[in-house]
Amino acid sequence: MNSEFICLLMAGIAYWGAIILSFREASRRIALYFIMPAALIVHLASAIIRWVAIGHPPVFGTYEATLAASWFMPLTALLAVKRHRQIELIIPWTALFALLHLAYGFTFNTARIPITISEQSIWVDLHAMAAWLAYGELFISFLLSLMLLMKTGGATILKGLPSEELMDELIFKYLVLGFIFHTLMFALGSYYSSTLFGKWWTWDPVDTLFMISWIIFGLIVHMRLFYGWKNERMAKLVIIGMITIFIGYWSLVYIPWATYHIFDIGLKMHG
Amino acid sequence: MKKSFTKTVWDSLGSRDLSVFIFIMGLTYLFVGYIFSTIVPPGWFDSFQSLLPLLVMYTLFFINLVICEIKWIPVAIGRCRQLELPRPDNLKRFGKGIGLDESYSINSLKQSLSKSFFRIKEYEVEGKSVLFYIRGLTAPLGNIIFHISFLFLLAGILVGLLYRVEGSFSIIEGRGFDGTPGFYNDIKGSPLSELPYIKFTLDSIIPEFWEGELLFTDLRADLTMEDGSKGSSWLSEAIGIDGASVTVNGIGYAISYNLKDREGKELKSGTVSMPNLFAPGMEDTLTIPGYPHRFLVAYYPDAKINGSNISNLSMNRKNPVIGLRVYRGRLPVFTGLLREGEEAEFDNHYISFPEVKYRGDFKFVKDSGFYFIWIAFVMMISGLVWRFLFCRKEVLIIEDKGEYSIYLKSEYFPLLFEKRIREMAGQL
Ligand code: HEM
Repeated sequence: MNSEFICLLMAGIAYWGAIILSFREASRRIALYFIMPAALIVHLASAIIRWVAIGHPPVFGTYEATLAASWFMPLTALLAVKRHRQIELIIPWTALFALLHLAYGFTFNTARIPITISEQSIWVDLHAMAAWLAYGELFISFLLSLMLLMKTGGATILKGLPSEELMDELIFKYLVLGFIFHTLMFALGSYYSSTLFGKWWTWDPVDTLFMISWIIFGLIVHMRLFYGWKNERMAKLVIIGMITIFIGYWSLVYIPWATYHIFDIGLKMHG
Repeated sequence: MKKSFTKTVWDSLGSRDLSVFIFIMGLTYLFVGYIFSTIVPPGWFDSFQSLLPLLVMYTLFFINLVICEIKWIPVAIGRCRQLELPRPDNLKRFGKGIGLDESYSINSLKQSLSKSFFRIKEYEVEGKSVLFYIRGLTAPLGNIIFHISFLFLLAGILVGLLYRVEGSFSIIEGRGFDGTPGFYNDIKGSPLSELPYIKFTLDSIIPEFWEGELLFTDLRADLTMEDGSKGSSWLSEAIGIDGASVTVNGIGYAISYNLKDREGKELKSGTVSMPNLFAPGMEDTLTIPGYPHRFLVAYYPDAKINGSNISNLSMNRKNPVIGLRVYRGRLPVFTGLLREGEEAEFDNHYISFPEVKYRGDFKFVKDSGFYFIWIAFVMMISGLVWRFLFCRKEVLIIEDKGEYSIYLKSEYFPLLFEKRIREMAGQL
């Protein structure tokens, strides 16, 4: 086993550790301030080793995409908790989702493969970076929405969550941050597509799906402003929006008519 | 009567209910389109886009947007201008004040606020001294900038529809391209478009393959422009020529041949592009005008010869070998392998292939609409940041005989703001 996978394995174990330690109030702090940052560091080390070997940031192909997602989600969650201690509870859940993402990634080819020339550009790297930041922020909004609905539904495992009003503000805050990065991702992708295909927009299934999510987020903001849709109503819309994001990020490889967003070698013709 | 009818139409076309209706229509439409686009071949969905109901929806969207903005802009500008200094006897817009106990420090709060983009007004009312902090006074402009960006998108699309021109052409290494319409493989122009003036010589094509396989890791075309300056174009990075973006987006092989008679006198020579020669191992047919022969050529840039078998190790030009079969009618008159420049004899003639060159396939696009699109995106992002990250926040500190009362106001995030203020006040 090479050092890349050893680091990733260590990160995986640390994520597990953080989940288990978070169950107990007493050890939660250790998980938060020690185990999670350590997990992020070794996870990053694994990504850097891969980066050096393949000569591009590891964000292409489903396996690398899960590597990026499972790093950006805990990162944004940790930053959020640093700012808002009341939502500590999102950490073990984020770690769990990060592990699920990694597990999904391992069902794909993990071989180190170069990117084709069409993927070699600072613009596509920035585009991917904005996409993962949006994913991280929107994921927090999504998780808090789920928790809010569970809380109002009477779930007892979520003790220690802040008030509904504060949850509502936080859901909105991370939604807006995600929305900004989502728009940035669009702009960068569009610019890149214009250099590559001479078109700033194509009706590719993926583009269409992201437009759907983007409009859902716009709708949420409008419903909040125009009709005062807050709390549970907003949470439900956020969850719907995030489902479209999940589909957009992870279903590409199953679309019968390949989209140019597939980077898995063997699933796409190169040349 | 007539006026009120016009007003009714105006108000309903610019209503917020209609905006939400359009959002939901758009979502439904895109959702159907998404399902459609995953089950039909790429490109079909593009034609689906120009259907009439959609154009109606787009039109409605822009009408709604424009009317809403016409109504909204004066209100928003008014809000940006008004800096109404609050008076201690009228604090309606602030809700109830927050209490800070003695363990908090007003000074640390003041210091932190002055470092966080707040404007400060200091004044006295009825013997009470008032400190008023405000930021995000112009935040409503962010909203306007964001929504106006859609009009720039529309402008970009319209300019594109009218002026966009694109096309493709192929050139062999060492040759020039002079931009006359006959040189293009194809040109697609909009009604008002003009062909850009593209003229250069292709010095060389430099591809790079992953471990020699048919997987490009780099593809560059080095060019010499008309004025003698050098430039390069990549697949993913265009070179700008007369407002057009020119990219190299494919390669092929072109082969130069030399046909001689028995005495060694040159009969014919030339360089021809052979579209089917790429990828290596494939055969393409060369015919030479005036000769009945068919020359079936295959090219192995990195050949490995094993007895009568030949295979290709990589895409790099390390050990080029040409496979040649010559037929007169159905009769084979030569079969063999040649190095570059080596001669093959058939029917008292000699043919050699001095060089196999690359042919670069180029694409150009000239679309001034792009500029509007980029402006629109910049407006969108800066509008959102302006609106949300710098949303309006106010802090009012009233001092009355050594007693402080604090009132807060924040768009969107009142609770988070209160928490932030308590942090700024820092427990002593
Ligand atoms: C039918 C066209 C649209 C109209 C007429 C419209 C109108 C408005 C208005 C009047 C507001 C301000 C509400 C207020 O501050 O009280 C608003 C806010 C907003 N709209 Fe739209 N909008 C439209 C389309 C969109 C679209 C397509 C998006 C993006 C998906 C969008 C995103 C936003 C955002 C993010 C805000 C919040 C900014 C704020 O709070 O000021 N809008 N819209």
